[in-house]
Amino acid sequence: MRLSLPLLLLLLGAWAIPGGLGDRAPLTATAPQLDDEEMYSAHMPAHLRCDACRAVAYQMWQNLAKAETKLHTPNFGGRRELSESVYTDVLDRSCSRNWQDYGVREVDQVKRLTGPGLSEGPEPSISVMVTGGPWPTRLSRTCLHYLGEFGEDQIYEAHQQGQGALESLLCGGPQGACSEKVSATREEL
Amino acid sequence: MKLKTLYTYLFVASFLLYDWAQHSVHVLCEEVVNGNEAADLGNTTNRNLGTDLNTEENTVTSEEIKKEDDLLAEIEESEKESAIIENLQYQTEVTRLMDIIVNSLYTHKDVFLRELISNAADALEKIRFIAVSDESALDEEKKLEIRISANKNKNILSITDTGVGMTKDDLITNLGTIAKSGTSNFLEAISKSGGDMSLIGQFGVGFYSAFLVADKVVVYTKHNSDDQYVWESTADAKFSIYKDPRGNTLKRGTRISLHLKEDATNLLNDKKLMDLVAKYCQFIQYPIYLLHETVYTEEVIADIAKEMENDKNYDSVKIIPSEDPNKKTVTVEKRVKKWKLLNEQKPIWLRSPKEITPEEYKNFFQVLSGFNDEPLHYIHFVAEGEIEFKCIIYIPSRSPSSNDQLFVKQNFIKLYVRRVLVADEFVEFLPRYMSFVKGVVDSDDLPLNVSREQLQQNKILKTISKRIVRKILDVFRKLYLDGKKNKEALKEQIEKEEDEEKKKELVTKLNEASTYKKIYTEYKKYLKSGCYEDDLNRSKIVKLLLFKTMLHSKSISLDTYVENMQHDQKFIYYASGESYNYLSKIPQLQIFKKKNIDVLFLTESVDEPCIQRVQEYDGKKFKSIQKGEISFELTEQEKEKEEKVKKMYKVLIDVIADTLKNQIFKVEISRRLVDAPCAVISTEWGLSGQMEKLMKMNVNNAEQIRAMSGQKILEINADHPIMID
Repeated sequence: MRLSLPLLLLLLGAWAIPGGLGDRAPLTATAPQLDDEEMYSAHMPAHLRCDACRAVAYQMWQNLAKAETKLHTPNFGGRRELSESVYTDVLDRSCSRNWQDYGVREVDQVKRLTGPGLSEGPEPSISVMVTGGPWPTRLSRTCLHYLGEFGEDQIYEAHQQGQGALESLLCGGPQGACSEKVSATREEL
Repeated sequence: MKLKTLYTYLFVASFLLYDWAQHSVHVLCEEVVNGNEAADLGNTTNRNLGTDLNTEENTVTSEEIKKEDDLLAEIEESEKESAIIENLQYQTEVTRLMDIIVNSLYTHKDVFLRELISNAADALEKIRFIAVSDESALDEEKKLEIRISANKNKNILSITDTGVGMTKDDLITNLGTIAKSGTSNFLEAISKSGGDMSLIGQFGVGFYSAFLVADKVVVYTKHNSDDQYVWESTADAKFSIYKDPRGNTLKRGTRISLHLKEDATNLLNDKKLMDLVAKYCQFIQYPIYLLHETVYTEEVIADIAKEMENDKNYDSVKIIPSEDPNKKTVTVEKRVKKWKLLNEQKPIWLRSPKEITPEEYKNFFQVLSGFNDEPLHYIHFVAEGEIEFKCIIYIPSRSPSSNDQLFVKQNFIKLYVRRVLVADEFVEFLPRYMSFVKGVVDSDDLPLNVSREQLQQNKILKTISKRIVRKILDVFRKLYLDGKKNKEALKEQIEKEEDEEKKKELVTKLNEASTYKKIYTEYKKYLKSGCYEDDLNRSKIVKLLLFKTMLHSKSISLDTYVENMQHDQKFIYYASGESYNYLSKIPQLQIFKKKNIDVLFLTESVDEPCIQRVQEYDGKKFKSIQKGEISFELTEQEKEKEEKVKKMYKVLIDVIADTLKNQIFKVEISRRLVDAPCAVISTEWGLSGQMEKLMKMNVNNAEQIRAMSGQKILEINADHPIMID
């Protein structure tokens, strides 16, 4: 008697599980095959720079917005404005964060950077992301590069105009990482 | 009768008592009133500075001074008898130091005054800073000031401050037994620089410069937490310390008395002293008073002159009869000693840049840095907006040598908050690669009484630091561009100039180094370190760097390189190696020579790491000619030839690869060789030969070395006779 109960449960389980799986097609995903440049270069590979820029813009926007909500007193315009030393510090910390939540995956045979703020379009149900390695340093350097290029004041001003404005400041424009010319080059590759 | 006698005695006694009491009280009052001034005449023990000395100039009547004759500021031998004197030996390095100083033929002896004033100011800064969190620290003596005076009778020059003072232990530590870390390093620097005494302050041993002019130095000092002590020494191997038997006459602070050498007695001359002090005290924030004798001359009738003789307002009145017997008037010379305030101006960095002369900036630099020469450049920056601060940054003409960095007093930037010096050893305020600048930063927005660790984390400070770094880099860029423009204008002038003499002059001018070039030559190692370390400012820094190239043996900027690039050139090429000559001969250079494509020559160890961190310059990537593949646009014909050659040589390639399989990763046909038979290349993403060499120098572990060795590729020149055979 005592044995039969667990045995019964086992049988039930054994029947249930294959039954459950049997309804769906098997899902597969492979880790992205990284080429030499992607693995060893000191810099962000060119075809991933637009993604990297967008990731940086997203992190900057998110951290600034969070800092603004922490402010207790909005100014007269009802807007919460950070002081220079605060936004300088926030932007500095946005770049020196650990970036471990970003990585590379291959979707439809195209390698893309992926992570918070980078999803676009329908997500595949399963994918393999490679994180760590050179990616955090590359993202951090990219972030600091933009911070140095544009300066905290200009970046904060753009941020105050909206998330889109910040992204287009850093990544748009004719020389930007996400400009038309660059996406054309990507197709060539 | 007895009662009457008693009363008489009592009466007399009380009279005597009263007189004695009066005298004491009177003496006390004198002390209170005259303190330091009379002391400097070598006459009083009283150090009560400033309770009365509120006005800028203080007159001491001759009568009061006469009374002070009885009271001594400089301790007399007789008084010493009651003191318990400890005689101590100097640490050996200190003795050596003193020997050098005493025997130096140094001409700029006035460095001693700058050092002693600077030490006095430091002591005042310390007590002011302590008082911010502990008001009672100033209880003994509220005034913060420096007083300088000369005693012509005794040949003594004294400098007194109401700063933090020293305890007995401080005296022993600071002045003799434990040689400060700076001492031996200063000795080393002196032997290298050929005896440039002016460096002494930078090593924290400026005090000893007193022996340049004095054969005996006596230091009286009173710290809040200890009694008053006296330290004295005559520049031989020992010094003595004893508790001041006269008690705590200083209230708080330090007095340094220099018993001048015979050839230094000109320092007692009023005018000389005034000029000397004025030069250095302009930049000290605390009032500096100099005891100064003023002479008033008047022509008056003899009778009136007689009356004037007894004027108590003056120290001495002399009547000089007229040489002309008919003249009814005589000349009256009235002398009076007064405390003259020498530094009425605000600190230089708080004044408007427009008001300040280049001479003043230069003098301030000398006081700030301890250098005797001029700075290469200065930046007076008044920042406005949300965070306000004022700063003056100097670029010295000499960089601290790599050894000096360790022991030179680390006061690169003095940080003031609301005119209180918060940190003068603020090494971390600017990034390491900017540590060569010197200057002052004053901000009202920083908190005053926080620990150094808290201050370093302070957001406002970080923002100020960022802005200053950016400003310095922007100024450098502007200097570079201005220099370039000037050279071009000069070149044009030279071409147009027909007169040979004038032409020669212009050519000389053209060959002079611009300000930027001087700065760059001195500090390029720092800037290149910055290129490597500073992710934020890298793109600004790389614009400032200059490199020698295959076509330019005089360094050029990357701007110039890009301007001169061939129009279809996609990369900025570079090669790294130990010297310019070495690189001119490497086989990998051959195709570039042939096509006349310029290549940067990186010969300093920090060059390649710096360049590797630069993603691109003006849209162009960097490419090492010693790594990976070199590809140029090939014509159809060339492409075909290449295919053919590859097939032809396949067997040879396989044989070589097999033979060298332990040392070589693969063998390829070269695109870069012209004359040479073969060359070794590193893989695209591996370490270049030069980098590997440098890294091996820093690592001793054989295993690590093996791990670091990159994979090598042997390239063979298909056109070379050996290969063809």
